[in-house]
Order: sequence, then structure tokens, then C-alpha cells
Amino acid sequence: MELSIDRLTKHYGHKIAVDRVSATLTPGVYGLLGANGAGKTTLMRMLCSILEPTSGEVRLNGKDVAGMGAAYRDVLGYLPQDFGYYPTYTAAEFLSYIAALKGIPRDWAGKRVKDLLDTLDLTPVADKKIRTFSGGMKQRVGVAQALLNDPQILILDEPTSGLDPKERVRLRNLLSEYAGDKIVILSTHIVSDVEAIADQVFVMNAGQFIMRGTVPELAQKVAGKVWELTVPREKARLWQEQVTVANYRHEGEQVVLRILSDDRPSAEAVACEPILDDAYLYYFGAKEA
Amino acid sequence: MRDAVPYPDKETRERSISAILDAGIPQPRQSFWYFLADVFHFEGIPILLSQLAALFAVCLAALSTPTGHYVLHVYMPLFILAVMPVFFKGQRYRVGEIEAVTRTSGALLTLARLVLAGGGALVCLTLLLVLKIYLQRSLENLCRMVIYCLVPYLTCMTAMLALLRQSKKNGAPLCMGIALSSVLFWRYTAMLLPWLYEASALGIWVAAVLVYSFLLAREIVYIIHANKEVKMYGIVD
Repeated sequence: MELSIDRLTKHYGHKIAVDRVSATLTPGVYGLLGANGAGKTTLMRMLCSILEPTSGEVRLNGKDVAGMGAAYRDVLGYLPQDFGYYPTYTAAEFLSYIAALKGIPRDWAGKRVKDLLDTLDLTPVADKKIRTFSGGMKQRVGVAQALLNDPQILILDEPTSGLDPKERVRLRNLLSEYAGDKIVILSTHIVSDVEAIADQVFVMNAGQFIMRGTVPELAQKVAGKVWELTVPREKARLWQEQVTVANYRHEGEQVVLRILSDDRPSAEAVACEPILDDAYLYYFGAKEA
Repeated sequence: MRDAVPYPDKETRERSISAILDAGIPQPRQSFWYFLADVFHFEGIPILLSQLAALFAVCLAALSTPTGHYVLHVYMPLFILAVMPVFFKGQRYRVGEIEAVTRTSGALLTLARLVLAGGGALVCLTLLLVLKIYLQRSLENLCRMVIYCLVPYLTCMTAMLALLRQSKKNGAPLCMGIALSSVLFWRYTAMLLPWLYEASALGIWVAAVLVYSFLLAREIVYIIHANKEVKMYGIVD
């Protein structure tokens, strides 16, 4: 299975949301990383064919998905960023409703809904109205509906937002297990989510992929530019104003700063192994990220 | 209850995870009628109940004055007002995107809702005509009343579908405004323009039915084409 994106572009009037983006995706987990407004959601909506591109196309195994209709939607699972639900439906009813829209035969849908409720720890609240759920529980209903048809292409826009750390880890593990021979694309601005499970990472800014590669590859782009410096607490603020500080950690009366800089910021600074967070912050700048 | 959800035991969880990983979903159903039955299961009852509530209100209005049954058509937009929430709920609750990426597509879902709403409206119109026959104790002017009823109904239904097609953010309130102002418009027309209800003016009504039937048919054809040609329908950007 191959999903190819060919010079995909979307304009809103004079504003360019996505600008000639191209990529070829084979089974695996892909992380789409970028600040708010980078064009991630627009790209995801075009991948789901719910937004018509201004130019370019998305092809599944060589076929333009714009003309595939139900055949494409049958292999697609999608969680939008702004997950909506019908407040009068219970979790089980909502999933059964979406299963009906996905064309899943009724007897089979019942079993699938039950398995997904179990997997996402929603069984105890299956018969409660979704409107009574916490943000994390609603998000899990959103993930469940995306998985209903056992999609070959799973597109999740900010799937971990609203989840507590434990839930985030569990969801990440589930997605890793699920990926196997499927294409899983998740967009987020939480670097650690991508770092944990993505086989390939695309970093997006101003509608374009500005970096792509595996997590170690991207991290290596800032090799030799990451430093740790221990300074007295009163001087920490001064350093923060002068350089990009990726992390700030108290150690007694001292503060350990993780600094991103092309040159050694101070004679006492020690070079350290870069991580994806560093690369992201280096290219976006602490403020933009 | 929030967040206080007990996690299932490890064995149950592992079993359910392997179940979803080895799903092997059977061939999705293809028939529109099977799909219609599914939509009826979830939305048929709300559509019928809201239409019955509208019917009850219209019957009350008809019975409240001795001449009430002469202006039954004035209230026909209420039947659109009754089903409007179902048509716009995807937009209102932001479920439209999720619905649109299913096998069904927004267009096919709208078509199914249209069949259910149209069927319900037909039943309600029949019951209204039965009430009229009962109140006037004759079959006199029955055909005229059918034509009078069709004009406001078709107008509002066409307006609602046009708003859905245009995917306006404020489509639902606009549709509500159109339906309510239609009621007022037809009410005042009945009071101020009595000549419009004379036998000699029937041609105007027939022409209006033809025009609005054409416009409604055009909207329906657009929905069918949107479904066939995989165009987005009813999603607010």
C-alpha cells in the first residue's frame, strides 16, 4: 500500500495554507509536527478528501483518491482536531451510529463497538451520554470511532490533546501496535508523542515540509548545537533573554540550562546529545514553537 | 464520575486489543435501503416525533377558530422547522467531518434524511387533509388545499437544501428565520390578498408548485451528483 501526496496545495484567497507538499507514505507511523497555523490540519483534511486542494493530488496505490469515493473512505479512519459528537448519544450509541455510516453490518458492528470500548477503557461509561465525559474520555471516543472500520489509513489530528500522561502513553502504544501493515498519520505539536512512536517525522511550517526524516536523523541536524550550562539562579533569566533555552532545570541553588546555539555559548557549557525537541526548537525558535 | 473510570483487567484489555488488531471487517453493505434502515434506526424516531409535534400544533391552530381549516397551508413551514435540527445537526455539533469520511458521505446521509422527512411530511399532510374533510364535512376544494400546502412546504424545503449545499456557518438560524417568516408571510397573504385564494388565481399556485418542484428537484439532483462525484456536501470550512 502506498499513499502518495503530489504537490498538494491549498489557497484561501491570497493566503497559502499548504504549499506544494509532496511525500510518499508506506505502512508505518508518520508524525506531522508543526506550530499552530503551520498547515497540518488543512493537509490532513485534504488527505481525507474532505477539503478540495487548489492543486496537486493524493493517490492511493496510484489512483487519485478524489475519484475513489466510498472505496477510499472504506479504508480511511479520521479523527478531526475539533472532535464533535452528538450530546444526546451515549458512547455506545455514537459508535454504533458511526459504524452504520461506515457501512459495517449490524451484527458485526456490535462486537466491534464492544471491543473498542474495552480497548479504550470506555466500557464502564458506554451507556453514559458523551456530554458528561471529561475531555480525555471524549477524545478516546473520537479515537474509537476512527478505528471502527479497521482502517488501512488512519489519520489523527491532535489525538493526544486532552489526554492525561497515562492515557497518552496507552494511546501511543495502541497506535504503534495498530500500525503494522497500515499507514498511521498523526499530527501534533507535542514533540514527545511523535518522538515515541513515529517512524518518520515531517516538520511543517508555513504550509511546507521544512524537515523530514526519522527521529534520530532530525535530532542529528542539531548535533553540536545543544549545550548544557549550569548558572546561578539570578543569572538564568539573563541567559534566557540572550539565547534559545530548550529546558530549564533547578539543581539546588543552581539552574541547568539546555541551550541551542551554533557556537559554544560559554566556556563552561558542555555539549550534549540532541533530541527531537531540540531540533524542533532550533528551527522554529522557542517563541514560535 | 468524570475520569473515575476503572480500567479493565489486563486479560480483558489484551483480548480486546488483539480483537481490534485482527478485525478483518466483512464487506461493507452497499444497498441504499439497508443504509436507510440504519438511518431510520438512529434518526427516524426524532424526525417523526418532531413532525407529529408540528402536526399537533397545526391541528390546534386549525381547531382554534371556525375558519382555521381554510388556512392550514400557512403552517406548512412548521414541518420544515421540525426536521431542520436533524439536517443541520452535523454542522451544529461539528460531526459533519466525521460523517463525511465514512462510506456514506454527507450527501447520501442528507438524501436518506430527506426520504424520511419527506415520508413523514406526506403522512402529516394526509392527516391534515383528513382533518379538513372532517371539519368542512365535504371534499370541496381539497385539491386546491393540497396545492396551497405544497407551495410553502416546497419553498422552505428548497431554501433549507440550498443553505445546506452552500455550507454556510449560520445556515441553521437562517433556515429557521425563513421558515418562521414564511408562516407570517402566508398568514398575512391570506388576510390581505383574498383574491389569491379564489378559483381564478389557481393558475398562480400551480405555476408556483411547478417552479418550486423544479428548484427542489434541482437541489436533490445536486445531492445525488455530489454523492456520485464524491463532492463534499454540507461541511462548513
